[in-house]
Amino acid sequence: MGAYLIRRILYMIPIVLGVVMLTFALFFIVNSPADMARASLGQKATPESIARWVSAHDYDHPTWFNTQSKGLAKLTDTLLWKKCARLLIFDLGRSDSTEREIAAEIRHRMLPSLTMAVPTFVLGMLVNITLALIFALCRGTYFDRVGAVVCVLMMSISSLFYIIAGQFIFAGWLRLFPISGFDWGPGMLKYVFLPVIIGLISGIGAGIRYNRTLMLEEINTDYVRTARAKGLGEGRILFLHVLKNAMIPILTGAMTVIPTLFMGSLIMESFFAIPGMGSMTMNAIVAQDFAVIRSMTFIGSILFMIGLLLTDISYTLVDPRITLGNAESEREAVRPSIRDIGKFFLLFLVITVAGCGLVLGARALTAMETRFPIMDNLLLALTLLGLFVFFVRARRHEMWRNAWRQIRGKRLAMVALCVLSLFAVIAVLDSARWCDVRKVSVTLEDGTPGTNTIFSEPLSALDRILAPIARNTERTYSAPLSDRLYTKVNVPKVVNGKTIFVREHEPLVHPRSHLLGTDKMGKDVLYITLKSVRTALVVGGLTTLIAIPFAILFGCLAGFFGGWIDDVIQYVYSTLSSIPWILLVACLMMVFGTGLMQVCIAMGITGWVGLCRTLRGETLKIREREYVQAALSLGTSKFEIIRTHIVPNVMHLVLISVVLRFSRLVLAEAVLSYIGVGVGAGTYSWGMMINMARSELGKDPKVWWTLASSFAAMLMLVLSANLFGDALRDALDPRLRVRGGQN
Amino acid sequence: MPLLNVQNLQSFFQTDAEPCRVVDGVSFTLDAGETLGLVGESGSGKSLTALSIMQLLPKPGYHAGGELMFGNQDLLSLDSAGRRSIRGRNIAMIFQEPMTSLNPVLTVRTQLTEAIRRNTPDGKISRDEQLRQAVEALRMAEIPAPEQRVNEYPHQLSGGMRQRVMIAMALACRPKMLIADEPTTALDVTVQAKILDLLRDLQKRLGTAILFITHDLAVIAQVADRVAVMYAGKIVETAPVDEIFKNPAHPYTERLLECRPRRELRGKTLETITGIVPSPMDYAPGCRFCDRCPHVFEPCHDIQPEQIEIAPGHQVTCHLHKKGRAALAVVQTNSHEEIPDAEAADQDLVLDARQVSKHFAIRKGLFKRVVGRVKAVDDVDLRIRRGTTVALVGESGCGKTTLGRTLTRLYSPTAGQVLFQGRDIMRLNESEMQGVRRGMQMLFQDPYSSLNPRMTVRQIVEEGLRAQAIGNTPAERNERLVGILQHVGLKAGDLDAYPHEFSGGQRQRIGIARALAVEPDFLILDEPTSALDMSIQAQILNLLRAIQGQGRQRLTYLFITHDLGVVEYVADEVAVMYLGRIVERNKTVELFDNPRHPYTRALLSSIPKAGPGSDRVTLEGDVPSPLNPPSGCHFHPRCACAMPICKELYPAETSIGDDAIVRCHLESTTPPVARDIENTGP
Repeated sequence: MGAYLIRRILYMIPIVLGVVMLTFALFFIVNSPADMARASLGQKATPESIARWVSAHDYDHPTWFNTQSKGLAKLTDTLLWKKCARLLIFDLGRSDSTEREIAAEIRHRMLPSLTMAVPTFVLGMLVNITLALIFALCRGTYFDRVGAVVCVLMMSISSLFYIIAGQFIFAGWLRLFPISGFDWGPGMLKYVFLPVIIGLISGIGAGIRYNRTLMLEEINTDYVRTARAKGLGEGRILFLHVLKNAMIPILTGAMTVIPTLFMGSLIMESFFAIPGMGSMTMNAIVAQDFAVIRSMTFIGSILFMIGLLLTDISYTLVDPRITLGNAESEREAVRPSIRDIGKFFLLFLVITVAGCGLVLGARALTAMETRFPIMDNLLLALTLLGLFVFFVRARRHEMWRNAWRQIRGKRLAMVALCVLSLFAVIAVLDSARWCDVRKVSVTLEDGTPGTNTIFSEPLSALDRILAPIARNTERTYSAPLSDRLYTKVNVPKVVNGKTIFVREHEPLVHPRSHLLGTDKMGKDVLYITLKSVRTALVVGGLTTLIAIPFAILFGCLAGFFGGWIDDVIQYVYSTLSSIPWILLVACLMMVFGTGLMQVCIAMGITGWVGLCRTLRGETLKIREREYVQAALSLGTSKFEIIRTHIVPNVMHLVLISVVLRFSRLVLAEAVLSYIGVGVGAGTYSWGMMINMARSELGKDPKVWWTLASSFAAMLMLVLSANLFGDALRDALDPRLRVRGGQN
Repeated sequence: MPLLNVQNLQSFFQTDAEPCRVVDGVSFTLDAGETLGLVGESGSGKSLTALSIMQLLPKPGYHAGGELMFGNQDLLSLDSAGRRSIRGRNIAMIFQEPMTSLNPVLTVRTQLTEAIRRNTPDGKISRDEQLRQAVEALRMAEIPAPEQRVNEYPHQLSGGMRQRVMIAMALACRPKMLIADEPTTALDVTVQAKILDLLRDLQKRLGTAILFITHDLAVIAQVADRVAVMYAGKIVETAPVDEIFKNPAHPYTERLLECRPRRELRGKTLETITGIVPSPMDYAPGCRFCDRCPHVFEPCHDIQPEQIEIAPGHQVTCHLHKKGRAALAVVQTNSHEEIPDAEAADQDLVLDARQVSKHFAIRKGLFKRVVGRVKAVDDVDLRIRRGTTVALVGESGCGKTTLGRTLTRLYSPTAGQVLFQGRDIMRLNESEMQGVRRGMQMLFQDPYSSLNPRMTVRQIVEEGLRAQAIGNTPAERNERLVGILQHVGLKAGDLDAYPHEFSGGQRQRIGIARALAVEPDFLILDEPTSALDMSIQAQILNLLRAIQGQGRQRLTYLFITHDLGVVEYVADEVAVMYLGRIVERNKTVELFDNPRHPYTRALLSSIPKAGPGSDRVTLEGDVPSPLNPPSGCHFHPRCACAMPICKELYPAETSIGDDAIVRCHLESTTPPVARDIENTGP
């Protein structure tokens, strides 16, 4: 046991080093202290104030090596030492924004986070497992089928919704609990109760579904059949035979939650004003406090490792086959030849260059995008072409045809597909953009009359269709289908020849034309909601496009070759996945800045890890299949084997993952935009709508329709993606497990 | 009154279209204390018949008709509590896969006592008594040291031990009837012999009726009193066991017995059953065997035959017997053809492996320290002459597949030389190896995982042509492909189909076509028929023998198998492997007539023979783990004639004839040489 712990801790060292180096590279090499100063000081930054900020926060050192110092100080008077290496001895330094000692602050904030997170975790496990057992017990009944749909519904709802609605109903309306705050004494119970309940409910859908899948898998095993043949009752079979076996994967899912236990839930804590580590992180993101973020990333990854360690130890409690520090038999590694490595390197280069080219091209084209938005249309055309090629190829294959037949038989899945297509059509309409050209007669410099060509702002097809409602703006809020403004405004009135201002509900310019009301600026909410569709689909689609090639390439390489290639790839993804997801994305977004493209890239870079792991595992299995052995003995090159034997046989996993990941990305975008590291102002998105509408709920009377319509639209999209994804998974690979969700 | 009376049982699977009629009108009876063998090829519905009796049909299976009477209790009218009271207490069942049929996270004790507790009438039984009964049950199943074993987990037991635990669990409550569903199929032949003995003994002692399900006619001959032959969801013939083997009445039974590879048929083609088992989705209206039957006549296609009693206790469902027995004798044919003799093979060696070893390191911990080695192949010498068939036999885990893959350099050997047509292929670099690969090809066991499901037959067979750059133009390649396909008995029209459209036997033909496409001289056949049904096995063996002599040069085969019947029929020479080493090598006839190594003797006598049992050499225990092989001669713990020296030294090769060797101290005439001392480390 002791030796095992030491080995595991030794194993953590390279990963923690990797995490620290990653944040260092992001903040000090990609970014510079001056960039941080600018981010922190905002618009009013001058070169002097930047220099002052940098030296005040102890960033005025060379990055790697200080030639001006003497002796050892050459190494220690550097950013590398002061801001990176010192993390490793838990010297977290001071916050950039509040100047407080970070370590002390974390110690102080640990307790509130734990009082909220531990009950949520423990109760959540109990409730999820119990309900999953009940569902497994009455599997196949009406109750179970309805339950399954309810679970999908619950996991399709944004966590923001649970929080806002919970707070509104229980605290605002029923006044059962205080809205927010914290008490250090025994009074904390009343503050913690509501967040715990909400946390429980928001995790319940995914939790039950995950556990239920695991249990159903156990129910179909041979030893359960043996138990039945012995004449055992269903209760004993479930509680002893099934539950004990299912606990192994359930524990895997549960222990990875450990970091969030300590770090608290970012959003939950900030909503309920609980002074925990989550709200500390949240504040740091808002204040662009890089020091705190760096420390949090470091601590998060260490907590993740501890979670893994606890998982391993808890395995030994339920699974007698596992002893700590299991010996493993060597696999026969396939040795790649120089030519193979060259080919893969080339492929990798092509992908990266193409990716970078796309991004750079996008930036360059956005700059000159005034006349014709090439980028949008190009992306659109490429996506449509890709889909077309896929469908043409898939039509020829029995597996896809068979899957399609199965999906076509399911009513719910077909409805979901229709809804998805509707959203896709909206997004396509919104992506095809062009400018209007107008010729105006002008007088040229020499006085002669001539014409000048004027290009309008590029407008999408959707803009043109929705032009009537887009143009119909009001002064400010108005309720759906109302004929007056929702709030009182100063209206000029001519009384006795004098103009005076009276506060009243002014009649609308376009009465009863706003189906979903208008927002603060008087814009039509339906228009904003529809415009946000494209953002959601781009986030879901483009992110996937970025992540998938890497996942396939690395996953197949690691699984096929094994050996050092596998070690390197595993190290990279262990490092990336040891950082809590939301922190990693937040780090990237703080460096990249906000924007649609940036969100896609940040989530794409972090998003290939999970799929890569799945594909590696699958490739390991396929590699041992006899057709691969046959290909090897025929002398087919390894590159060719991966191309023709491995990749086509993992494509169904890729497709399932794309659809199920899509829904998570849409939800994640809302959360990111909400905490201010998303698409940024100026881009329509449901996250931004929620962000802007958040203050409106506090007002009296409450402006509810912006929130409601964004949540409803998001739910429609995510729910149909989830339902369709489920049907697709059942059709293509009924045995694939759904792992617990991100964040 | 029979113990179990099954009348016209129908169990269907729900599908979108027609129901899948997996069990379609099965009738039989089982008397108390009797063993009924239910035999049939895969897909005939025998396992589902058993699950129907237990009422454990997996979804979407359902009961579609018929009667199930246990004594005078109607099993089908029971509610779920009633069914549970039948299971375990009255009818127990053991399954095929001992590896997965026990719950891995519960101790043997928990799994045994829950059965005992459940089946004690009022459920009141003290813990001590439960434990006593559990240990007693294990002792009954001849498990050594049952007091310790009872507290162990399934993964700590070997496959044979687990099957014994299953038997103990099933018989702990003294059920009146036991269903054994292929209980020995997953086990090695030496272990199988012991388990069959155990079941027979227990039946005599306890008087349990057994429904014994298997695909193996030879196993049936050893255990059953009566035999029921199943085909396509129906029972086609029921008879006492001797009667079935002496006077098979149904053409299917007769053919099934005929197509077993045997020694008498060496040098002749095997009888086959043409075609494949029909799919349960579309059964013909008449007799289901009519498409494959050599005796087919007028009524077979349209009218379902009825069961006819042709002798006391011998029923057959066939139109032929309406007219009396003589009919079958008249149309009976024997079409065994002579195959050109292989003895003309020259002395030229195709493959010469010298002291080949393949060890897999066991690594542990952070730095992946090597803590042990699995010596999967250890110091093996093998010489294969051109045009011959050499069989490599051994039980699972003995390293025969690893040896095959090491010889083709799919695995890189730890030590040794492999000379292929005179060149040491272990010294070649990748591109030189590329050319050599053309000469040596493999055929694999599993017809399902050996073909990529995403490729058409054309792509599969063409893969080798592309890799070896054979055939310049697509037309030229196409011509070759068509030729090869016809060669292996497929049609040119099959080129653009996907593997899932073919049956197991046809898939194996595609595999053969893939290997033949590059015109190899040497084929390694890795259990090519063990996943196939008996009737299909005969087709594939015939094909392999036919193509061996058809090329410009005779093909050379290394035939890896555990099936000694096939070896006796097909091989010129045999090498017997035990725990990574070849213990005996000889000409087939000589080896079978005069086995010298005690292991070979035990192996040969474990083969279930289709006839009355003879004196057998049974082996104690299971094959030890190759990670930790016993010291000295690996076989000594199981050997009846072990001597003190066997614990100390691995025996050297002793020549026992022309190119025949044995490694056993009993045969040894010379003092051990240095190399062997070195190899006997702990």
